[in-house]
Amino acid sequence: MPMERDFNEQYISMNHFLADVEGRAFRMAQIATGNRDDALEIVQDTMMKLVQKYSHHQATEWKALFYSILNTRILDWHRRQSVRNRFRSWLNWNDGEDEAIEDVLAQHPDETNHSPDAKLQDSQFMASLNTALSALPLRQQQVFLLRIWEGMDINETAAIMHCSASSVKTHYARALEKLREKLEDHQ
Amino acid sequence: MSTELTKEATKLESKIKASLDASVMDLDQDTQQALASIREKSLKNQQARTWLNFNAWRPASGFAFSALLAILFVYHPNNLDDALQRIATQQNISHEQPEQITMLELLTNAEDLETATDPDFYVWIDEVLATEGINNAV
Repeated sequence: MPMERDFNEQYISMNHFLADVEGRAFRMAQIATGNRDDALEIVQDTMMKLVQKYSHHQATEWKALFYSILNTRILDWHRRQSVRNRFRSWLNWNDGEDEAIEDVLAQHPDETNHSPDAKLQDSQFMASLNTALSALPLRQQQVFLLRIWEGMDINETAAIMHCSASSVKTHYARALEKLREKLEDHQ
Repeated sequence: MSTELTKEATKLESKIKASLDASVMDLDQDTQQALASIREKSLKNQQARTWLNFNAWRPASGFAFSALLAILFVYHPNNLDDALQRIATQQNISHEQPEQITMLELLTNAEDLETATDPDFYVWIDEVLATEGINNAV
């Protein structure tokens, strides 16, 4: 039955696509939120929305749509956090969550076959990178990760971020400069 | 100087990308399972939604729509009136009483109507019927 075949093909393509991007999406959300559970929730919302609203779109459009949704979800999370923080500071209430922000990169077991020194260096670089990326302003962080990690060009990134190409260039240059400053000990 | 900076930036970019890739490869088992489960859940949703999707029901809804159109056409009030009238006419023709037919014939024929309203006609018909009664008795 052609309809069923189409559905199966679409299901398989979507499954491959999501399997390919889920790890990077999770890490992006984790860097942005500093929290594993929130990152998983953001990835879940993103996948659900992509599948529900855009699975009938061409597979070539999925990547841009996926990251557009992901970035919006991350932005929403930051807005909610900002409101929560305002209330928290108003009530002068601290439940110790700030201290519990995970140093996620440091948690990763390194299973590569590097020498102990190299492993240590990699681990230190990862930890510093995580800290440096998390410290970037959200827009710079998102632009930097989309450009460097997803390999998106300036126009694609601008479309996802709903900003101009020149803003993308500026965000990227500033992010790179800050990272270079913070990671110069590891270079 | 500028070339050196660009080289340095490129090297840093490559190093950052490699580290980020490694961080995905090294995700712990729980997180990998959680991501796989999220993916599966999203795709199940897609499956459920696809059956509710109009595309999936297109042939069935097309057939149902055609059937509805056919029913509306056949049972349209105008068509229904015509059909009922036809049926009523047929029934009238087949079951009409002979007296009614006679009356109708009289009313539609001017000559017969004139005869029917003439008192002499009734005198004459009484005589005829009386004569017929005598003859029958004989």
